[in-house]
Amino acid sequence: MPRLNSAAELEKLRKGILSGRDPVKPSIAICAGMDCLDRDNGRIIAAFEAEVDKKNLKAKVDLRVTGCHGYCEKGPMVVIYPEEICYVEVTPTDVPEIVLRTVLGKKVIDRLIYADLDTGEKAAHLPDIPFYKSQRRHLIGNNTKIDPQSIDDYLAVGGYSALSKSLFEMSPEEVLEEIKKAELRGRGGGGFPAGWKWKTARDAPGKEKYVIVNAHEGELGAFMDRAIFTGNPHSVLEGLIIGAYAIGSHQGFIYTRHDAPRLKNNIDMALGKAEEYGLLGENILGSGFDFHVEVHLDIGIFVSGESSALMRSIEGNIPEPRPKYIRTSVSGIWGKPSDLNNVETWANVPLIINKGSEWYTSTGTEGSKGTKLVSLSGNIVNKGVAEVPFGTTIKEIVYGIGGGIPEGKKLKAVHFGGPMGGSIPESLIDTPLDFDELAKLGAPIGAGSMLVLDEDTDMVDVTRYFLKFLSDESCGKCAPCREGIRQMLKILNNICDGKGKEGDIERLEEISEVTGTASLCALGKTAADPLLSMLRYFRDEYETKIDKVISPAEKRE
Amino acid sequence: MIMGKQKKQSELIIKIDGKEVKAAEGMTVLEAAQSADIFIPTLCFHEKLEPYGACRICTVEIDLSGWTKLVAACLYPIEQNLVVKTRSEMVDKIRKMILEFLLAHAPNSAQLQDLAQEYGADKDRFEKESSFCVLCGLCVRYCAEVKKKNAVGFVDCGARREIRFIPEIASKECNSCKECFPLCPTSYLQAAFVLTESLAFSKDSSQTALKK
Amino acid sequence: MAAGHTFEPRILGFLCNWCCYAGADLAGVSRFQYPPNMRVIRLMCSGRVDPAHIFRAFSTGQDAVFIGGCHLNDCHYVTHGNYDALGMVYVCKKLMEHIGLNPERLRLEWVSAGEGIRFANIMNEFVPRIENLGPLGKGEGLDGQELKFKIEAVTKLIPYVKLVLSERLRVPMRTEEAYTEFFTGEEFSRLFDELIGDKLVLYQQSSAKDRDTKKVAVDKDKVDKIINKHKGEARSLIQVLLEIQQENHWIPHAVLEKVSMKLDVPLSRIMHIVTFHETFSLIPKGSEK
Repeated sequence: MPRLNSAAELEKLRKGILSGRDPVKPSIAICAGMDCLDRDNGRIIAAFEAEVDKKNLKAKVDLRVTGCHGYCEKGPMVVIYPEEICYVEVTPTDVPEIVLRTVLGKKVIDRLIYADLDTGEKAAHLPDIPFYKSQRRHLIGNNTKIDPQSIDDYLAVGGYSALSKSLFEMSPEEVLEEIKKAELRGRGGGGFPAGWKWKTARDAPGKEKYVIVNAHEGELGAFMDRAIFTGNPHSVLEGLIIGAYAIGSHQGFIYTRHDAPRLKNNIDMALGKAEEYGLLGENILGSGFDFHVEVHLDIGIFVSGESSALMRSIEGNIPEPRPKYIRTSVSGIWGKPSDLNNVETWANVPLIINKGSEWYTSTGTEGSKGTKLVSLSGNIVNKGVAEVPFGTTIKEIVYGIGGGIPEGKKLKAVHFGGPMGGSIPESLIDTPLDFDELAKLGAPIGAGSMLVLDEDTDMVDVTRYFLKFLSDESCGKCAPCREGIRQMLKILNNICDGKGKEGDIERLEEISEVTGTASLCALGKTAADPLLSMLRYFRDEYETKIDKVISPAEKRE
Repeated sequence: MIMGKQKKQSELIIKIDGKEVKAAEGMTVLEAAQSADIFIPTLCFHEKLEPYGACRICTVEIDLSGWTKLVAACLYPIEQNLVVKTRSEMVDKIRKMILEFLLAHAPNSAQLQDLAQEYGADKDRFEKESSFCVLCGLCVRYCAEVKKKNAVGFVDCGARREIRFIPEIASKECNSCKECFPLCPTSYLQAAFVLTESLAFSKDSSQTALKK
Repeated sequence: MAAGHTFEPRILGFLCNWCCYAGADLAGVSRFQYPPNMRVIRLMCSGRVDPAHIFRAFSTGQDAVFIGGCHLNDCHYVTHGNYDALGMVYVCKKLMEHIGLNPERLRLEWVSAGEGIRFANIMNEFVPRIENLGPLGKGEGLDGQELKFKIEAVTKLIPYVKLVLSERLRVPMRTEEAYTEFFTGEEFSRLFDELIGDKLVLYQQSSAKDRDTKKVAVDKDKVDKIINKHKGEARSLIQVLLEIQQENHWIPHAVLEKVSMKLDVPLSRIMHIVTFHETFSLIPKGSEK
């Protein structure tokens, strides 16, 4: 495959790929997301391969092992194109029937399609399924059409056209301006305007600058970054290259988990293919712009997802954060300006460049534009990854997309942001999904994990669970975080074990005030946030637990 | 100086506790305060070492164009018109609690006891912890930055974090040096050293030590 | 001891010059009878007794150790050395318990210069008690080798124990109540276990391992290959360590040293990285910690 040396050559290649693809040719998309892999979809893939081989259908049918389709609860999932028929909870024994009756026979197999648990209402086509209906799948929608190990699939859906547009039709400043106008806010948890971050890095003195993809995704309950990066790595890569162009960086880093071999494999392949095609490396598309990418794996600790700790780790040091009095976009890796953004943030970039900031800002709310990937877990019927526009109410996400609470139980709260976030109680579920609205209620959106908790959940125990997690994952450098978490955990353990003492809540509040203000990094500063959120909305549960221990006689005193 | 050498060090004017202080650009709040003889307590700071920002005792309140923040004085670079308060309700609260945390580890440390008196910290506030290291990192950093031997380092993370001597290096270097010993506010360093010496130094190295 | 022979305990006594020694002398002069099993060492203050002395006595065949000093608050030195002796004895008794020796074999008593009869009474009670306990080790069911090894382990730790005692296990006030409250309390027990007990166990375990270590083979070529793949650059340290861990499932100490040398990074930094998270293992798979 000779390198592409111009925008025209890229378009020519794309046209060639598309013309070689028959839009009515049947194709089978088998979901190979994390959850489906756990449900042993390897056997389904093998079964399809065998069946296609047996029936000599290799030329007549496209078989694709794709990234995550999002509907993890109903996996293993298979989507048949061009009709977009969706089969759920497929087993290997269903495969020959699917090939015969649906792929070849164009008929829908009733028992394999989605059926509503309560009403029994069925939906054969993907867009009709309630889980997908209210989603707006700008980012993750392509997952069902792309084999992550093929660059041609990405090109076929219009991939790298944004890169070509940026390099040849826009100046770096214009690209940056477009991102600023689109009001793209960081999707990793900070919600910081990406355009401003890019500008700071661009304006910082020095010729050497770095761009980084934070694919660490340590937040408990968050698995959407993996879904999009494993399923469509080129979309993130394209965003990264565009960002590098805008900032003036020639070296990028992808920082990802060491325990996700499939993700690493897909990233490596994507980088290799992009370089082969001339979309990465020296003289990209003949534009004169050079850009190289290195992949770095993490040690495995949660704190290494923190931006300054991450940069220490890339340098080969221990991932310990440092206070950000001097921004990392001014002084980051080896003291050079380094722009770090989350996977989802990068994936939004090609979209903004292609469709324009005006289109992009038409979705979302006043303060939060665009869509957000959320990962639904906990006590919810439909677990999985969904993409919704900002402004969608939590109620709609939990009931409309999530399908409500299993066993008809009542909703108690939805927890955002994992161990560094907070809970929204049932009484406030009409709150729209929005960075600022949720932050005001003490439950910042974080990376987008939504842990749904039903009426039987013990909120004190949930708090303890989160604090224990942080206690294991803190780096231990600064005293307020290390010691504060240690002491808060002791008190919480005592309360949970029925040994709570009068004044424990006040003690917890006192310690959390110090930990929240004096800690070195965000881990320490937000360590007590779940606790404070619980005390704000569920204080009575704590008081009940402690009151049970203090005898009525003591109380009378 | 954390930003490296500045080409031209311009002088800035800041206010610390209401007093006007002239200091060079690139200085930290702590350096500026020390140059004006204003006291800010520290634990993990040492003039020969890069500031570490781990103990957070030097936390001060700063005011920059209406925004109040709590920052570590040993690391925060000064800016023109910065207003610093070395004591305030929140600052005192923070220092008191950090001292109480650390006193649970090392109630007998003279340095901690002095500070505790000033801030009313109660050494019995929290249940006593066995490890009497306060993880100020002075020993580790001194050996790395000044002696460049790296004979002692940190291990593990979070509440399990500790200092540990590297027996291969310590058995050769430490007995003729021990410059880090007086830096330790709790004397845990000496205890850790003799422990490593007795458990992990090889027989030959201990013989060499005896001969000295 | 062979059957038929009665066991004659060997007891070493450390008596302070001012009170206890004089008291013992008075007992002798007054012809108060007591068993002759104790060999006396006179020193200037009971506070001079070091744990090393006690355990050396045990390692050279003594069945019991006696320490005699002035009554509390009557020490002839302004430093109140007898309180130091008190604290030291509490710790030594715990150490003895830890290695399986009966702590009654160590006895601390306050005897004044005029208390000759008290001294004799103490001896008349102490010696038969040790007779009952039997010879050191045998009486607790420990064989000679095991006993020797355990006492050795404690002896090795003594410099550390002394520092812990003086820096961490201090009692705020020099009063009998304060000392008793502290050393019989739950806090002391816990602190002792965590600070000293655990280290003792660690030492005994690691020496046991040293004695029967099977060297687990590590492919040196593979390690070299990984280091060379990353061009021996210091910044690739974490990637190198991750790959070695993945290849080998554990990283032996020798390999850590090699990485330190080849990548020119301090061993202490590598130690911090490999202990930071459970991703890395420093012991072969299947071994217990």
